[in-house]
Amino acid sequence: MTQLKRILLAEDNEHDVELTLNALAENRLANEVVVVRDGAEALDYLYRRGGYRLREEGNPVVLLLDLKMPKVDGLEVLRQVKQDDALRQMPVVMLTSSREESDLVESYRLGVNAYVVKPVEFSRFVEAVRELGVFWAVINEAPPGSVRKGP
Amino acid sequence: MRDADVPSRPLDARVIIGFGTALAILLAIGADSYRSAIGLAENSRWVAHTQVIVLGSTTAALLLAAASFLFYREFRQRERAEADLRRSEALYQAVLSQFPNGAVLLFDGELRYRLAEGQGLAAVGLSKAGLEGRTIWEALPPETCAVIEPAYRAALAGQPTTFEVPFGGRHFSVHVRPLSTAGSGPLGMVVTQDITERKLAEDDVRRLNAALSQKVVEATSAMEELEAFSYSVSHDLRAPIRHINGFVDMLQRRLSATLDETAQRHLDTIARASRHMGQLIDDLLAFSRMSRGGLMRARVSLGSLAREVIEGLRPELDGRSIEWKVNGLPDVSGDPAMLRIVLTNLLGNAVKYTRPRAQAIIEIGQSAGRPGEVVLFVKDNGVGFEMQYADKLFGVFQRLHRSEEFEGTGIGLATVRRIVHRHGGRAWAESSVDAGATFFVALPRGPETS
Repeated sequence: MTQLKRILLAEDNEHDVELTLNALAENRLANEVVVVRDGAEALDYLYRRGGYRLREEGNPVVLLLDLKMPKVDGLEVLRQVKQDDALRQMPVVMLTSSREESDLVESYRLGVNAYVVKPVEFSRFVEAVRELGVFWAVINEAPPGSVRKGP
Repeated sequence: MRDADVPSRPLDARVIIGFGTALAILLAIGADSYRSAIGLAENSRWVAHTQVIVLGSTTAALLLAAASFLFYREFRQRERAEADLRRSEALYQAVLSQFPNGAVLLFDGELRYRLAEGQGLAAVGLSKAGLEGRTIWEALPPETCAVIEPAYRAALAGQPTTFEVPFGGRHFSVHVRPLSTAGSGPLGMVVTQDITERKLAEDDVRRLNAALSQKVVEATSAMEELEAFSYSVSHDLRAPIRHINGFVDMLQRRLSATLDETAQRHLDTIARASRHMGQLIDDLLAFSRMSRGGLMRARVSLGSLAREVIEGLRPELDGRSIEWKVNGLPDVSGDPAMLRIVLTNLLGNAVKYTRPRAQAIIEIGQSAGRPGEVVLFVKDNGVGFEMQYADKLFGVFQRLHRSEEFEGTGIGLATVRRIVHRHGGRAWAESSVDAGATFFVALPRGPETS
């Protein structure tokens, strides 16, 4: 029985949000997806502060993180997540336009779990999201403390 | 200076002996005359007296002569020693006065110059006479004294110093050393060398270095701008292209049942155009990456590289008949990954532009180049190009064919030339329309090439 696990998507571009949600839906990944629009909001969500003070407990099963975002960028969010004992177990996937090697190197240095360059072609993007979603949201056994919606 | 070649005339022993003998004879004659004059003829007493006088005089003369001879010998020896000394002194004097490009100075405990020699003195308006016998404060300007006094005093205390000092519009390297001499009180020795020319050369080097550093800073900031540009191309330009492609795709999925053929074709065109744009951006980024980063140097076998690249192209050859001729390719020294890109582009182009041929022939080999070069060529029997556009081929986004005829982004050969230039080589092409094309890559024959 597939458990539905909450995915946190941190993405500032509305088109990318829509494409990503569509790609998830295309792959029948019906997880609850929480969308935050910049790094600061992502951290607010993770630390249950600001507008997310009252959200239910538990970490998302996976964080899909855009690299370039206003206020706090993806690398900074990644750095904070991987330095925090309560958060570092949560898988983080960089989902980005950037092919820059320096970003890739820095992401892995900070302990990212996967790094996906969004392909131009949508069908390939759908394929990439399918592989990610199947692995991180369905197959992968989530670390303790992750939110699992009941069966 | 005294002339060492003309010694003063010595007192000659012969003169003394002659003088002594003459004196003895005169005394003898004198005594005899005296005896005759007073009429004491044949007086045995006078004879005896006379004999004594003559004998005494002769003895005295001989003694005097012997003494003179000894004195003379001693005198000659001294004189020879003095002449030697004068010659030696003259030699030192000559060395010191002709000491090139600087000066030699001696000073005493009062910082008074005891000796000042050297050709460098005149160049800065100093002289032997102006220095010798004077203290540093009497002979030199106060600002110079302020520099040299501590060094002079240190030397008198046994501590050598070396420093540089400007003087009279020139620059000097100054060595101050304690001088140990027997019984003349503490002395210091100064040896100066005029290093103005060296200073000027050093200044030039410094200026050039500064200018170079500035250029490096400028180049670095230009590189940083390029990095930032590439980054923004990578991220910001790709995003909208991705959106176009994504939304067209979603639209197609949603409407596929209801769209007519024309509408479907339009959507296909939009999707294809966005893919092409994405390819352009990726190629441009790859091109810009070729200009950055370090260049690896390794021994690369172009023969095996060519065979690998051909292997990699096979999946795209679907049903084409291509005769590959790979002959006698050399080893070169270069960046293996970059040289692979060069061959991939050149062989890929050869495959692409021979597409209209029923039997394509692609030849890869080595040809003669300038001395110190290894020249690789890729020759095909494809559609060729007009030679008047040969140079355009290697420009970014430059194409000689419409994309309906031959697909491409116009970056491949620009990348080839960029890589070849980074290796210190040349790239060029020869062709005529419909007669095939030959592309040449000349690489410097590095230490590792055979």
